[in-house]
Amino acid sequence: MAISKEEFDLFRKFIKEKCGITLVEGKEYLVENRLTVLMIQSGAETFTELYKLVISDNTLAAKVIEAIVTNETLWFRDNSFFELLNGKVVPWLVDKAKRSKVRIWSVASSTGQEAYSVGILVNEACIAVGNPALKNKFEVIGTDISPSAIFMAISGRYSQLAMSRGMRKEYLEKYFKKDGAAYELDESIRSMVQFKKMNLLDNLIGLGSFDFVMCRNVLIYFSDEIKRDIYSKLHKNMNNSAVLVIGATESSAAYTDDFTQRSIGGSVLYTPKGSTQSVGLETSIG
Amino acid sequence: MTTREDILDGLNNIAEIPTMPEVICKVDEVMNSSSASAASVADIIINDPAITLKVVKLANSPLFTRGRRIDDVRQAIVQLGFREVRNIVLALSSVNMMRSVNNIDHKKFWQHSITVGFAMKALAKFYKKSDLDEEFLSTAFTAGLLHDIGVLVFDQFFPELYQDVLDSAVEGGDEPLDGLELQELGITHCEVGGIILARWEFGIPIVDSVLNHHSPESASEGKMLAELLNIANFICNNQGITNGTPLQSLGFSDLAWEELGLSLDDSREIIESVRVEAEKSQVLLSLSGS
Ligand SMILES: C[S@@+](CC[C@H](N)C(=O)[O-])C[C@H]1O[C@@H](n2cnc3c(N)ncnc32)[C@H](O)[C@@H]1O
Ligand SMILES: [Fe+2]
Ligand SMILES: [Fe+2]
Repeated sequence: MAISKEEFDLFRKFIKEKCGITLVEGKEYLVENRLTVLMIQSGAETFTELYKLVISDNTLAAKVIEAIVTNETLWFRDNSFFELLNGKVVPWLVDKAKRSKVRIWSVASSTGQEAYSVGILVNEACIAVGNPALKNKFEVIGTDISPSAIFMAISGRYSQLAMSRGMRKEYLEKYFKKDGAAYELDESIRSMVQFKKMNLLDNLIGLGSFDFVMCRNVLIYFSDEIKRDIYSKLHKNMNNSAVLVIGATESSAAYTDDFTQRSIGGSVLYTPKGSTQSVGLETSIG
Repeated sequence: MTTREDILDGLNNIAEIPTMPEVICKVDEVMNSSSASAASVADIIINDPAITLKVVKLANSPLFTRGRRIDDVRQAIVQLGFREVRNIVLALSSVNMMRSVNNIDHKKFWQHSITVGFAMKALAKFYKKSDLDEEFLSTAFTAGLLHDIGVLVFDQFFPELYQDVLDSAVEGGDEPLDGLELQELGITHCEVGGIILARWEFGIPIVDSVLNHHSPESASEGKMLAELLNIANFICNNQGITNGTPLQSLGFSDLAWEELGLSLDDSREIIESVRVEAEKSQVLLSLSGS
């Protein structure tokens, strides 16, 4: 059954109120797909009826939210971003690793693809500079609010469908072992990454400070006020010379002035304002 | 009549829907009485020579016991504990129910089911709850073993209808199985499983948990079991031990994980222990002649 504009708006308003997540126009198909099963299960005949049930039933409400807030992610998400990463950021981090420990944070790591993609690139770069053991100087942390997503990430096992979304053939052959229908990531990469449960609305100080932070495709779900709050927390978790990246379609401009924006090869990086080291970074990246 | 009504009607009228294995009824009766002892449980099992032989063989398998040779059921009970022997007997007799298969790989189905049964117990040991007694673990095993029985009932008694569901699963990608069943048939394997287990007179917690194993938030009396089932089932699927239907590993209920009090720091260990349970179920299955 097709969802009408009015019905979509009802659910959009509901989700916004409940969890600060804004569904943009044009996501009707997503809401429709995800909610059809819930509609049948709850015995509702239309989306309007489902909505009436949802507002008076907390369990059903939780299911609606879970169905819409997705864990969607892919390997090497956004080509130009990963080109920049591979060409500039990773070499800079590898260089840094010769002198000190390097900490990388995948802020909403979902099922792990983002953190592991970076892990693979770092590993490759260490081999390329003739110092494979350098990878032990890296600590990659993935955090997410969903235990299920984190468990999947820790398991390091991905379906054919998940692999088809962005994994490159050379890395698939090099780092994955086929086991039944699943592809299992090699321990050499799995051991580089640690996953933790973390709600971005909570205090994040305990994580310590990072050299490179990826906060991509998660803040889009939050209200402006929460976005501001999270940017300010991210800033506190970055050391002076650190680099922040956000999703390709996102902009931080309205929510923070803690960072200086730097545009490199079609991608945007952010460095903490007033950071002296960022000048050095710019030359090594630019 | 809708497909749903057809199926409900069919379930009421199908004469061949099996009954609970007799040996299990008796074993459970003795175990629930205060006079339960290794001898009284052994007495019942010995009446079934085929099962007796298998239990003794299993008790000698290094995955189940270490140490001295076991020659008879009574020793097996002493060594394994009579609840574990009861679980093994239940598994061995279940595998022999509804053998004529249509679209489902019978062996895969039971490998999944037995592993989920053992995994329930293994998982329960990863969170500390005062109400975790031997009886609960035994109930947990039963729920695990029979949680997908609705799939087998669909396949056995409504093979054409179920083939449609399975076909749509292959094409559909990442739709969960119960969602597809609901769309195609108007009824899920969870509900059918609940109906059958209620008919077999299993307790309300087991029936409730099987009914809600893909939506543990909706469970009531069987909530903790349903939560365990949801997670044990996911981990088995994640490790490639699936029930023979082409479904995707979609994740477990976050709420269930939180409410049970499981810790993500244990994830690797949990996976390891489930893999060990999978080996145990393999040994068990190889003995059943399946
Ligand atoms: C679309 S995924 C993004 C994955 C990855 N960063 C990428 O870009 O491919 C969004 C993730 O944000 C997580 N998330 C949502 N709300 C959160 C919160 N309050 N705290 C932490 N993570 C959250 C979700 O569980 C989900 O896994
Ligand atoms: Fe199931
Ligand atoms: Fe299952």
